[in-house]
Amino acid sequence: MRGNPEFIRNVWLEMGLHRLIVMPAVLGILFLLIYLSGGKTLDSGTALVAAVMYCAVVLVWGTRVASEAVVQEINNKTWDTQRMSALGPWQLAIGKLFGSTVYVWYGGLICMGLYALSWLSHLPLFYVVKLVLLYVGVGIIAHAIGMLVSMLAIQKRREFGRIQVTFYQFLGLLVAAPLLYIGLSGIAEDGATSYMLWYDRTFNLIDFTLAGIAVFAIWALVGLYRLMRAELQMANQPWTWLAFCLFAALFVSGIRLLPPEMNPGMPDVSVKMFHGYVVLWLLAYIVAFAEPKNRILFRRLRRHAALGEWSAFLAAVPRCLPTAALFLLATILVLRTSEPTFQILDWTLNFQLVVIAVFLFFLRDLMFIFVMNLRKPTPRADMNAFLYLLLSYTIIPVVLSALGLEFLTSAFWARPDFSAALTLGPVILEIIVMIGLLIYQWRRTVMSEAGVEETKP
Amino acid sequence: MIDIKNLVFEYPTKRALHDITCEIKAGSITALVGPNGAGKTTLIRCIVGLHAPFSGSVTLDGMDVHRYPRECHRRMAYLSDFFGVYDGLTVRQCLTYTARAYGVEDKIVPSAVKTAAERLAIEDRLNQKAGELSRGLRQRLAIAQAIIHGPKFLVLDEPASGLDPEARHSLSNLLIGLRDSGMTLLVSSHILAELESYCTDMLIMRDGRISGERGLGVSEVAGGAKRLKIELAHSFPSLEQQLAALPGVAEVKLDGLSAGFVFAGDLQAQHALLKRLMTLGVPVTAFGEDKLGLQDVYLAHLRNQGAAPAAQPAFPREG
Repeated sequence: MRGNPEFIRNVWLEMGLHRLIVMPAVLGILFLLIYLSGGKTLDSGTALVAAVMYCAVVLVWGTRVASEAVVQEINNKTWDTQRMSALGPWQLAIGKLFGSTVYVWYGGLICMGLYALSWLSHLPLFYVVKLVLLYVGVGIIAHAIGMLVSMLAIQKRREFGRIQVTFYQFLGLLVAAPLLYIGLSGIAEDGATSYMLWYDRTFNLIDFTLAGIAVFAIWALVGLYRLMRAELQMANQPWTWLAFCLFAALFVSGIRLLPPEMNPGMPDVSVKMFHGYVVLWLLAYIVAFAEPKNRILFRRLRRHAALGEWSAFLAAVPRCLPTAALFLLATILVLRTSEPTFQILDWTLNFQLVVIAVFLFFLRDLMFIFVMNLRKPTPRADMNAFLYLLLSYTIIPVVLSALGLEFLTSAFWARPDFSAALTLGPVILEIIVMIGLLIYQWRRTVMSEAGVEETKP
Repeated sequence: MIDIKNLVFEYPTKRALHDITCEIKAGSITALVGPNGAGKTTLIRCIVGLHAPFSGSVTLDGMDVHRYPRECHRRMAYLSDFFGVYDGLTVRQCLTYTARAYGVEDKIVPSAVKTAAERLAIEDRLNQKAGELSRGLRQRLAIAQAIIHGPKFLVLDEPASGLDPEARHSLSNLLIGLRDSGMTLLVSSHILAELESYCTDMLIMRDGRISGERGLGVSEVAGGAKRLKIELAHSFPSLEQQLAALPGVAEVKLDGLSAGFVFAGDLQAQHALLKRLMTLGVPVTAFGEDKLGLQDVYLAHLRNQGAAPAAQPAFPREG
């Protein structure tokens, strides 16, 4: 880190003498008050206080700071200077992630020191170390996700307010909080540990959570690096993203969510495939909304294809397209390894039709998102598409159902209890309409120069 | 130095640059002028590799800026019209950070900081926080940051914006000094009078296109002839005819008590011409090359293009 100018700059900004004194003073006084008002012993009560202080400082405040790291550079007009510098994408990513949060970590490590001190008389040292590592790992994940989301956002917009930053902070916390919960549930106060199955092997829950956090933190750093490369005008091929999708799908596939007796109609392999299928479904939607998809991008793709510049074509191709291909592959694998119907508790569901319908609905939605982006290229296009789709998946079918028009809900939901024609027919019709709209918008904006509002010649 | 070929840039809703091809010569200070919305800032951001063009290329000494952005950034610098500095850092820290970020070797960072600060006359502010500096001093700090790694090519977008007359004068001297030290500069500005004092070339932009490109302060015309100008103490009858009859003289144009013409001949021939004018009794008070000013070129260009006077940017944006 000493050789990273970006990290050093952040240290200069964050670690002023006054701030160095204030942090331990405030945390120390708070902790002392609790210690004195309690039984003047270090126990689970003081550990809880230290953990809460850590969460407030590192998770809540730190994730905010990390989410703001690049956004503030843009708002303060210093981002171009950094983009023009000789700093590499790793230097910028690491320097910003750990530099912008260096003061937060200073406070967090004090909290963790007090936390460890509180537990040491009750739990073995290696358990305490694991708990501390869990908190630290969750902090890094929260910061990395907050910054990652903000960097995804700057690909589409360059103006940010508090609301946007709060949203990125929220997403960071949304990912980190369950990990912390799962990890903490791995060790009881009396030191008893929980176990879990992953690819039929038994793992200590906290060890597994720590390993998962470490691996996904590395992926988050890789994501930051890739987005930083894009900001520095360096081309990114899609393979890293696809590798992450595969990894995430395989990782989650190994986790046994339901005991075997809960799904007697499904062979174990298809349960695992189904987990991977769900992960890819989620990732495909996330990337479809997150990445830019304006007409310039498609015009560039068209040009690269026409010139046979396939490396540039792959670098520019929206990641949702290869992700959709992976999702299709997962759909086929699930269909090949599963029975047509699925018994879950007392219900017999038309499982394979639903799997197909979910994929078709995704295709429809993807085309709808493209149409919305081509129709009016504003930063709100994706948000508008999201709201329309949310309506179509929630209020509209609920209203139809309430009106007794149950059969019409198959136009909005993949219904496992309907016939093949009614499950697949409406969504196929919707796809045909979307293809028509997409072709129209493609011709209007991507193929035709008339799509460009020409400046006067 | 910089070669721009068939550059096209599109925003999602409009094409901002239309097939631009031009060159920025090494050792020049090129003024990039044009009305608001002409595409100057977009062109600049494409040149420095901050915007990826739709098609076309920009090369710096043969190296494609968009294919090798980091390598090119080591050799160029850009100061935006809306620049920022780290208010919480001292001037010394700002310069040290920038030097290290631009790849200056650690052992020579202190001397690079000192040199840049001296060049911009802010060496007495090194321990002051950037946030406490006036607009003019911040501008100087920003320029010091931009040149600290010794770039070969410096791009300044509206550098004089917000500066007082004294600071603008200092800026002119600084830019000339940088040019003399071997740097090539591209300067975008609305204030033509100010550009006049240091620019050697001009690119005129209009509606996303380069509508004019030429050197400034050059009096030579085609065939090695020069444009000369004389000024008179009082009017002289039949001057136009008498001048036109002299050997080597062509394209005579009278303008009140001055006359401009194209003259083919060396310095000795010029001397002989002046002597002849005196013999003829022409009341000459001044005789010399008629160098084209930036304002003249720009206005002449607009006249040729049939542009409305309202489109002329020859006025300062701030009071």
